Amino acid sequence: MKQQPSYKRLKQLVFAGIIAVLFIPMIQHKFRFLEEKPLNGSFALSTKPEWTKKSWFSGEYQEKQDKYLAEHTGFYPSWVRLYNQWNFSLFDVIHANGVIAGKEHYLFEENYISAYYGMDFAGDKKIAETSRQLKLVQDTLKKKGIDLVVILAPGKASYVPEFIPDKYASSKKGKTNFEGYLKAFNKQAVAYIDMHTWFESMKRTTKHPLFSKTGIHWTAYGQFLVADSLVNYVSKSTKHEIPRLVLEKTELSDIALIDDGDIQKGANLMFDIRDLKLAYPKFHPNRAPEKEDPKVMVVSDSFYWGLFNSNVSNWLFNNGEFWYYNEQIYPNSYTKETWAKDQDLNKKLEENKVVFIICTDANLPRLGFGFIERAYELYYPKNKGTAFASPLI
Amino acid sequence: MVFSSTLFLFYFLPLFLLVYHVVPKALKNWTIFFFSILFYTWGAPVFVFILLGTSFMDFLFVREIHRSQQARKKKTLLILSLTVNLGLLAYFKYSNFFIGNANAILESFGLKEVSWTKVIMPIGISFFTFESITYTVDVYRGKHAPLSNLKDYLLYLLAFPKLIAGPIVRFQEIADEVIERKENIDEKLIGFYRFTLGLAKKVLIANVMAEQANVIFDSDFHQLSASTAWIGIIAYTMQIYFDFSGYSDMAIGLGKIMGFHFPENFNSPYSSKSITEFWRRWHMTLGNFMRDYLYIPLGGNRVSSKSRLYFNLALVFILSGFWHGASWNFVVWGAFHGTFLILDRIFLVKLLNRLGSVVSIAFTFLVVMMGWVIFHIEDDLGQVGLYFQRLFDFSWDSTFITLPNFWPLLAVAAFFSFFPALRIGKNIQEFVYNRNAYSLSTNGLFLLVTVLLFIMSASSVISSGFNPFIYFRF
Repeated sequence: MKQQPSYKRLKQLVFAGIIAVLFIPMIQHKFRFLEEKPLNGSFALSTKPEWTKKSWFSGEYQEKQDKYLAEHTGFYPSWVRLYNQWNFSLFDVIHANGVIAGKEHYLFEENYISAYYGMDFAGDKKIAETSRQLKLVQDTLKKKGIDLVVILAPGKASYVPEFIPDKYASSKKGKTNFEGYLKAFNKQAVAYIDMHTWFESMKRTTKHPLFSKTGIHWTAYGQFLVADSLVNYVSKSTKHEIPRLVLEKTELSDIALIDDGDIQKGANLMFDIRDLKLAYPKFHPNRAPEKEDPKVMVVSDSFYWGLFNSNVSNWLFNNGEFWYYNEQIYPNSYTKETWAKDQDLNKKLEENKVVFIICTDANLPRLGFGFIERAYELYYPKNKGTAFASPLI
Repeated sequence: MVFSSTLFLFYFLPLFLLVYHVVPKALKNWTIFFFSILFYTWGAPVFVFILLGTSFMDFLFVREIHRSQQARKKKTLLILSLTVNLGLLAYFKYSNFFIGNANAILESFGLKEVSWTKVIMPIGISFFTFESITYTVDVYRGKHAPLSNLKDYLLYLLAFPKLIAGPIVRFQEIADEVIERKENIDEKLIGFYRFTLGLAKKVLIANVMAEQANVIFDSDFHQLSASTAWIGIIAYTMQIYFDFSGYSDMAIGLGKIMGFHFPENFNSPYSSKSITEFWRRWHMTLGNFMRDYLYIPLGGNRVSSKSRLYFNLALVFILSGFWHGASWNFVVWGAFHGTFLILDRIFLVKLLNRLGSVVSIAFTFLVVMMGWVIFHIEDDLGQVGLYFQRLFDFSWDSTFITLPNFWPLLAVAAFFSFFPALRIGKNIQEFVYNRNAYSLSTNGLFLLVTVLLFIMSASSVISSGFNPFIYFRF
């Protein structure tokens, strides 16, 4: 009887190969012989712990070393991307802080879903009080010739709720901050722009998507429309024709470009998610800003970044400042960190003809990010409790 | 150090495997010993000295037991050795429990409490204490001669694959392999497959189940609906099985790579048709230990009366429960299982046999799950009662959101838990777990699956802590 070959050599080779492969991450960690594409997002990696007798016997050194090795092992970014990819492909799970994968690969920030369902409702009392203060500040600034206007802007979840994952379907839709503010603004005659309703009305007719599948913010095309709308508003409000954007051409792509895939970028996947056919307008201003053009200041959440980076403040708003979350001020912070809290608010306001407070759904519980309260304190320091105080003009 | 860590997978393991396979045969045991010390010291840098000291003492006692011709001296040394081992276990594992309970009693009588600094329990103490007991008792019983040198004894006791979570390897099962063992390439490959399978069970299934279970068990039980409570206990049921059996698989796999044959610890316990059968399939090495070193010495089944038999069963199971942890819930859990074992003896097994496989498996699984409620909720039997209330108040909460990967992985876990109840499942299980060699094509298939599982598991181990904020400007 013929004996079956055992392929001993081949098996030994395979086993030796297994051991060799297990060494690769360690060797890469030590020598970094291959370039690694870094990960996106905001995170802090641990530093190499220092060995001391005390830390060794307390176990602290081992704990830190475990963490350090996990985060610095060879090909760490690739391991992370691989992990994120198979979790996304198999289970629709995204491993980024507060990000939810919805239907048809729409990615959402969870706080926008919470806002859509009213889970973060600030309460009628708070909304009424903020609106009252806002109204007083608006009236005060009006007398100074400054138009302060709030823009209630749509977030992704309220624009495409049909793509929110089914697991939220059982959530009872309560009163939202948007509804609350709309009602309060109308009641107290607060000046505002309702972009929610505007976006809603464009949803069926828009030529190109206003939100991408893989981004948090409005698409480049959506931003272009918003910019146009803001220019119209400023021109009308100041009775001065400010520069406007001239469309050269529109390029299409089903891979999210620029910041249209910002959630996806932070999700660190191996492969891009196929997006909608997105439009990328190429434009330039019809003229350079002039000295007498009104300055426009913007206090906003991250939704204004796209516009700011497209030179809207620079070209159209006469180099107006962008107060990001009412904290850092741009463009100044590019050269030296400049903080809103350090500014003479009255002086700053008086430099502008229009001040926009842009706030999307998820940030409505803190509408204005403290800007409204600070302006109110500034103009009504002694009569906090009264709605009909004499403003310090 | 745990197997499912970057440190172990990509630093410790490759270095160990390389050194182990490069050194001459005479140094192989030294290699295992050295790496085991390193492995244990990493997690318990203080206790390693106590462990080595008591092991050395044990080694001397047992050598003396073997040499001595006097029965009385042998017995005295046996008692001494057992006292040292059990004393060590009692001090490190149970002293906080006993002092805590004593203080509660003193307090209830209005007396002054005993002041006490909490003792930190060293990892793996339950396992190596039991193993050193088997060494002593097996030599005492004449089942095997003691090991001739201390290094081999320490290797038996400290071998890193089974050091901190079992299986409990009895001395007689492994004694010959410690001294002289045959290694072959087929078993090395199978060992790697088995290790990876265990790693995948732990990382890809148990960890997800744990995440889901923790969300529920960490919440306020008063607010739980029945549906959520059931999700919680099902998740924990799968977590504990895939975690523990995964660890055993990893240990057995690593053992095979070195030429050791550690005993199996699990055999599809959730497809058991009675609690008696469950205990033949769940943590088998503990069951075997308790049978050989406690139940049989107590008289086992060969006792004069039924009541004595039931007493033996109850005692063994209460102590088995207590072995799992120093808390009343483990005692109750042991008693709970002991009760069902007694009921099995009285009538339950016959009844379940008549009801058929599906019903008996479902019933047994339900009993086991109820047991896990007691097991999981430590230090508060009131909370255990509350959880049981929630399980059976028939409220439904449709708003509870499970993890996105929970249901698919639960389906996978359930499939692998119950599939062996079928003949085809049993055959596949036999093929995967009980072969010593495979054909080249089967090896190829296993290698492919193993590599895929290893990559997925490793990526999970390395990346699970990475959860960045997507705003770059914060």
